Amino acid sequence: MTDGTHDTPAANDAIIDEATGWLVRLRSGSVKGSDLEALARWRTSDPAREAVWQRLMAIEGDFEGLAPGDRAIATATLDRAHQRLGRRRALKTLGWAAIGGGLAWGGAHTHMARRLWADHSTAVGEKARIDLPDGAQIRLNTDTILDVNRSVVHLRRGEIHVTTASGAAPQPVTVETAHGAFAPARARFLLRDLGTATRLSVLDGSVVMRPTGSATRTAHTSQSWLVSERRLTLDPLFDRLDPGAWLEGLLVVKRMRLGDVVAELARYRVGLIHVTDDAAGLAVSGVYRLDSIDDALSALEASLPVSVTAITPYLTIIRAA
Amino acid sequence: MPDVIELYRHHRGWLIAWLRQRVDCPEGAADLAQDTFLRLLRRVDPVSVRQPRAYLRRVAHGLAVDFIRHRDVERAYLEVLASFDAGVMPSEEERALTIETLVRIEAMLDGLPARARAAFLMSRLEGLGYREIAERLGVSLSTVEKDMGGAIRHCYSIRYGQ
Repeated sequence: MTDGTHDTPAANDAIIDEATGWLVRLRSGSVKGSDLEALARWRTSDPAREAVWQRLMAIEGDFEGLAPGDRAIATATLDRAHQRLGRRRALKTLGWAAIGGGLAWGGAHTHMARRLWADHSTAVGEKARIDLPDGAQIRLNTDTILDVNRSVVHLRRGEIHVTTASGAAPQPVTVETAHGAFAPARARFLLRDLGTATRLSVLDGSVVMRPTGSATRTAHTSQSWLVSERRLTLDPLFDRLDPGAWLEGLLVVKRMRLGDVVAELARYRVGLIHVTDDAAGLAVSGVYRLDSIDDALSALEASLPVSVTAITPYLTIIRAA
Repeated sequence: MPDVIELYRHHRGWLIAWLRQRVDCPEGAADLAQDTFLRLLRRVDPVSVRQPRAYLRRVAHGLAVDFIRHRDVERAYLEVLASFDAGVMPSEEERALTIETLVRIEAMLDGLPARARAAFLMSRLEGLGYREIAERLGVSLSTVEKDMGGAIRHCYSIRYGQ
C-alpha cells in the first residue's frame, strides 16, 4: 500500500501466468502428489519462476495470517466493508476511483485523475439531467460518468439519453466514447458503454456513427447498433427491450432471457445478483420498477419457477426452483 | 526542497478543506494533508509546481482512499465481531493485527469482479474446494477455475504493479 511495493523488479508475464495456473491447481481441493512433484520441478528449474512463486505465496500469506477464528468473521467483515466502500465510491466521496492503494504511484495517475475530475456522474441507482448551453439536454442513467467540453460530450462509463436542441439552427453536439464519435442530426437517442462496444439506440431522428477504426454510417429511428472500434453491427435490441424505459423509471422486456433481465436490474443496485446456468435461459416478459430492485426480484420469483436467495447483502442468487 | 515548503504555505488550507469533504472527519483531513506534504518531501523527482493543486489532489487522493478503506474495514470488523457473540474477545493488539490484514486484503481485491471475489474468498477464507464453490454459486467447475486465475492475477497486479 506504499510506494515500496514497486521496488521489486518486473517479472515475465508468461511466468506470472504459469505460476497462477499452478496456484489455481494447488488450491482446487483435489490436488495429487504428482502435481506437487511437477510444481516443485517447475519452481526449481528457474530462479525467476521461484521468485514469482514467492510473491504469490506472500499474497497467500495474508489469508493464512488470519487466525482460524477470525476467518469465520473475515468474510462477513469484507462483505460489509466492501459494500460501504462501494456506496461511498458511488456517492463520489472517493471521487469514483476504484484504485488499489498500491497502484497510486504505479501508472494509474491518469485513470484516477480522470475519474476524480469527471464533470458529471451518477451513483448506482441514481439519475441526473444536464442542460447544455446550446439547448441540448442529456440525462444520465445509473452509474455513469460524463465529461463535457463545450459541444463535445465524452461518455466515460454508463448510459446517457440525448435530446438535441429544438431551435431553427441548433448547435451541433458530438458524443465521444471509447469506440467512436456520434453526431446527431435533430434526434433523440441513447448511448451505452458496454465495455467492449458502445450501443447506440435511436428513438427519433438520425445519428451519424464514426467508429475509431472503420467507415462512417448513419443510424435511423428505432435502430440499435453495436459500435466497436472496427465493427458496426445492427442489434435487434428493440425486439426484446424498450431501451428508453429507464427514463420513466421502468424496465420493459419482451421474451428476454432471465439472465439478461437480471443483468439489467443489477445495474441499479449495489451488489451482485447471480443467476445460475439452469435458470438463466428462462424467457421473461414484463414491466419492472427500477426504484426497488428487491420488489422486481420478488415479482420474478412469483412469476417464474425460480427461487431468489440473499446469501449476503452483497450477493443474491437466483436458481431454478 | 523549497518547492514543497512553498506549496505547503500556499495550499495547506485549501487541501485540508478538500480532504474534509472526502473523508468527513476534521482531524483525519488535517493528518492526511500533513501526510501528503511528507510524501512530497520524500519524492525523489522534483515536485511539479505548474499545477500545484492538481498535483496535491493526486497525492492526497490516494492517501484518502487508504484512510477511508481502513476506517470502513475497522468499523465493519467491530460490528461483525459484536454480532458474532464470540466467547473470547480478542485483545486490542490481536484486533489491530486482524484489521491490518483485512485492509490489505480489501485493497488487494479492489476492482475484482463480484463473482470472482466471492469465489476467491470462499476458497481462501472458508477453505472450500472448487467443486463446492461451483455448487454454491451455481456455475461450472471451469468457471470457478477461471475466476480463481483471474483473482490471483488481479491480486498480483495490485500488489506488484504488473
